[in-house]
Amino acid sequence: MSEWFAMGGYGFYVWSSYGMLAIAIVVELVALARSRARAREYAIEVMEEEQA
Amino acid sequence: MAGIHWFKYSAPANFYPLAGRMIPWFGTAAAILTVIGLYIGFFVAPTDYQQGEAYRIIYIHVPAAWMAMFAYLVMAGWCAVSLIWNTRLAAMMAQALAPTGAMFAFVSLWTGAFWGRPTWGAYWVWDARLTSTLILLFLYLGYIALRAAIDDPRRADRASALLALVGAINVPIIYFSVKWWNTLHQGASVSMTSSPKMAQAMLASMLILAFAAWFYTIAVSLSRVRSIILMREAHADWAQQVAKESAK
Repeated sequence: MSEWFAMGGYGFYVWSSYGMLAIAIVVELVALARSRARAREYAIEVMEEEQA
Repeated sequence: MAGIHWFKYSAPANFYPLAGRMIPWFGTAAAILTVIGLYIGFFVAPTDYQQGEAYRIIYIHVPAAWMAMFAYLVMAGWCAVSLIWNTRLAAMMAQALAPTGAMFAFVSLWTGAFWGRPTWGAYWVWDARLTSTLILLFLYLGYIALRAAIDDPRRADRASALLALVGAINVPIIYFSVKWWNTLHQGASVSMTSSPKMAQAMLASMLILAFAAWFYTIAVSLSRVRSIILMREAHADWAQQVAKESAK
């Protein structure tokens, strides 16, 4: 198993590459969820302003 | 065909629920293809006789680079539609693609750096393909920054669409850079084929992950466009109702 992770001595390069892709996807999905929540809140805010 | 009202879905109010129904399908397909592609890439494809295990970066490097270029062309296409027919949804689709395109451009540069170091001896060289891909990343970031700098969304649509269209010239430059200039970056035909079987597993993994990147991009941009629609239609009754119901 640890031999597999070593990637024949190239582990640092291989996992730095795959790791950054994983981080980028997580960051994007979190940002997506947050912008969704923001959009909802904004629409509700506008609605309440209009009603007031 | 006459039964399907395509123009119906060019209205944000109608497209919003349609996009919501499509996201789980594309998202699930992306996840399944990623697992299959990585399995083949790491456990079926053998070690490369020249580069050892370092070559396995190719499975994400190439799909990311393809996706970054392709997403830009699609984004520029939506920008053209929005300029010509003045449709709001097209501009919103372009806006929704930009962050994901930028993400893939960044990942292709990053993975390229970590592949270049063990094979070329350098993380970065001012090579034609690397430089034009860096410009692609800056075009995405410039597009996003320009949109953010203009308060009126309709004006932001037009100004950013122009920038995106002018920048589209960079995509064929990236693609043909390895032919036009004498570059360090390898050409389109990756000849790591000591045996045809190896090339097959490699190619299969790369193509499956390329499709995964497509489906991911579609799912994520559909989700993003829903937020954009909600923001920009916040004064419409339907958007307020949707926001109220989904907040429960």
